[in-house]
Amino acid sequence: MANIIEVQGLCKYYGDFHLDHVDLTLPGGTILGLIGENGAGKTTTIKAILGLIHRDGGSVKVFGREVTAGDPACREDIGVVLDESTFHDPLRAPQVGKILAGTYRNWDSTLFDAYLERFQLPRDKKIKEFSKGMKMKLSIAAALAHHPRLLILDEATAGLDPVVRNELLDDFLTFIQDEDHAILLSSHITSDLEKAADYVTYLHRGRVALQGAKDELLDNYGRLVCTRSDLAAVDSALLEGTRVGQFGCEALVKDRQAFHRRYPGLTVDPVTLEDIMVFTVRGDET
Amino acid sequence: MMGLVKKDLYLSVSMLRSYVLVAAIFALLTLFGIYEISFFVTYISVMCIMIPVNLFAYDEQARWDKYAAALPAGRAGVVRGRYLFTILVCAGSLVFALLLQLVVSQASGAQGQERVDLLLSGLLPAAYGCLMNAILLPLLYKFGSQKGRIYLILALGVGVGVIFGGLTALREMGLSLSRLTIPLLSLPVVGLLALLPSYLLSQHIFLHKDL
Repeated sequence: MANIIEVQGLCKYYGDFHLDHVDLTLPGGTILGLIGENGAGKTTTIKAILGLIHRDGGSVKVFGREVTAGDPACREDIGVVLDESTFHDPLRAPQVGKILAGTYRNWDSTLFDAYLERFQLPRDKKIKEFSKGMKMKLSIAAALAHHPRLLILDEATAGLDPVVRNELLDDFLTFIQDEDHAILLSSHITSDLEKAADYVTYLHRGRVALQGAKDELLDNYGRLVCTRSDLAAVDSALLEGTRVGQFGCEALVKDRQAFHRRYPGLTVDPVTLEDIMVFTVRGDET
Repeated sequence: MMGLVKKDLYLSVSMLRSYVLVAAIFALLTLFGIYEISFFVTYISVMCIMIPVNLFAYDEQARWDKYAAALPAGRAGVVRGRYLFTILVCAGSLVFALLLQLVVSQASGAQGQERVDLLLSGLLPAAYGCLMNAILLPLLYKFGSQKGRIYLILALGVGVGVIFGGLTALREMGLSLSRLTIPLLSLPVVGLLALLPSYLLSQHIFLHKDL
């Protein structure tokens, strides 16, 4: 299984924010979920992978080829959805299709029309009349209609209703059945990633706070709910973050099995990706 | 890359309606002799730079550049598409202005030197469009359409001053444009040539920009 994306030691400095030696790998036939709070560096990482910004350090390879701003190689094989609609308000959906047909060699007008139909996007309305969800659907249709091998989706499921979101996630899972295909999906909606992602990279303040196979992360981590005195007795080295409240304490346990062996009397619940995020961001807050 | 030119064409058509309406009114007033032809020539010249500048504003509003740079044409294709479309706009203005001058000369019964003068003045919008866009486009790539508007106003000022003022002054001095035939004929070519270093500069600017 070849790696579709390889990022090593990616650095980008913006004064008050910087990406700090970000590493991530996206193997073929998988979906990598990129999570993190607002301003954590998800979009900056995606821009670096697309060659939209100049790196201050590190290496980014897509399909084994180093990405540079001036080299558009491999872009025929990449479908992109950015975090906001990038199509002009006065245009209509069929015009977007015609524009992109003159841009991608593999553009499939029939497939694009089928997506417009499926997403119930009006052909005669200007994009300025579209809702946020409709604009996102148009962007997704545009990203899929040229038969890409790699999808890079920045908050692509935001603004979509749960039904469409679920259908799309199923499409994504079908898409990666081909081992030559892969998806990098950044999202705030961690439940989407729990459903679809094979790997997760969690960015926190420009650094990789956590990464690995999603199932392993969810198996290994746990949520401890206990009293203050119980928490005080626990070895802090076993905990990733704690939250002390008025009525009890919570903590993120790094290794559920090891913890259970050491503290069989304490209950450790399964975690969600959201738990992991919240504990890392707010874990030390009381 | 032709998709990018097509995109500019669609957007221009969406904004052209109002421009064409004004142009049609000016054309009629010129044909009826109410306005001087120089007024209409100046209007077409202004359109040659207003259209590309407005396209920058549209692109910024849609945050198109970062998406377009991720398309197969890449950053180089984005700049190439914009210059190609600008040349098409200037070529269109040349054809339109020359046709109108022909109609005006026919309608007014202009003969000889007067007719040549009319046709020569038809070259001015395309020449002005190429020259001013050669200066403006790199500035717009560098500073964006908001800051670039200052340069646009300067360009419009120069346009109105040189073309409208120049044509009026020549007429009042009783001088014929046909005395300047060779410089006037060479102006569109000079404008076209000026777009080449401008294009290379814009490529350089856009390539080094974080989107």
